[in-house]
Amino acid sequence: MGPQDWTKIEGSGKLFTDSSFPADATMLSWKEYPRTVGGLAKYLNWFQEFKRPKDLHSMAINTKNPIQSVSLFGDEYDKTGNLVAGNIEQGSVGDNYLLTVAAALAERGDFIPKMFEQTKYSDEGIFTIKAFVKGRPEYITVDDVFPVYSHNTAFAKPTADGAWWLPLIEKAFAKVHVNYEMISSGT
Amino acid sequence: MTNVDTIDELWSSVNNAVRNNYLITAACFIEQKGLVAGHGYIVKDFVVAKDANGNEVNLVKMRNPYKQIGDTSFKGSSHGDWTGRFSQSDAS
Repeated sequence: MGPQDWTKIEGSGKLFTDSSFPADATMLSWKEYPRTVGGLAKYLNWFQEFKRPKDLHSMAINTKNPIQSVSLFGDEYDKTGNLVAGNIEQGSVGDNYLLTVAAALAERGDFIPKMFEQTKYSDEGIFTIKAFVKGRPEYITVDDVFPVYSHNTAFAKPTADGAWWLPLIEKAFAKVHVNYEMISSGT
Repeated sequence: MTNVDTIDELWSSVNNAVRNNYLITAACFIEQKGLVAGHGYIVKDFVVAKDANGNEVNLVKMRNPYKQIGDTSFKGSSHGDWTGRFSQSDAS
């Protein structure tokens, strides 16, 4: 899923925008078929902005909860090889079934870093995640534009040491399932 | 966990999964024993211990991977040992 030539985009110096998962209301929910349980309808008016982590970082630097420096796996991983696997933060979609598993994987060595084709934060904002979709191995490519609210991501937050692997995995999961609303409540 | 009919089968299944280093998460629909309903936990270990009367007690060790609301203190690794109640250092 995503551009077949993602390897050419990476390193091009040009910011990647994923037209197959655009940063608009369709990323959040399926207007014609809103979820009645665990849906996002009551929040949709809140999430009208979409931003990249580097923009959020510069916006929030002087706020009460500043986003740390932008990194794919975080300062702790860069220093020690251990991901920060605790103190993860869920956002406004009911997907803790996914985030809990991601946190459990993060406790186990390199499982999370090995899901990514990238070894560090992509300057182009393009990320390719390897996952099984309906039993088939797939490359899922996403950009790093996230719905935001109150100077932070609307959904899964970056970790305390500035790692964005969790919001990116969540975004790839949402892309596979059409939108963020569709990953709510474990269905 | 599916395909278990009795509580003993459940414990056996948990024990088997832990011993084989399976990735296990858990949640409950009703808040009980300090566990928050609808919240996700990571199952870390399972042991059978004995209480003061010699009765076997099944103990499950779990980690809450989530940040507590309002907690801005955390900056480091989460790989340290649990030091709270029922931990190795708990004298109560």
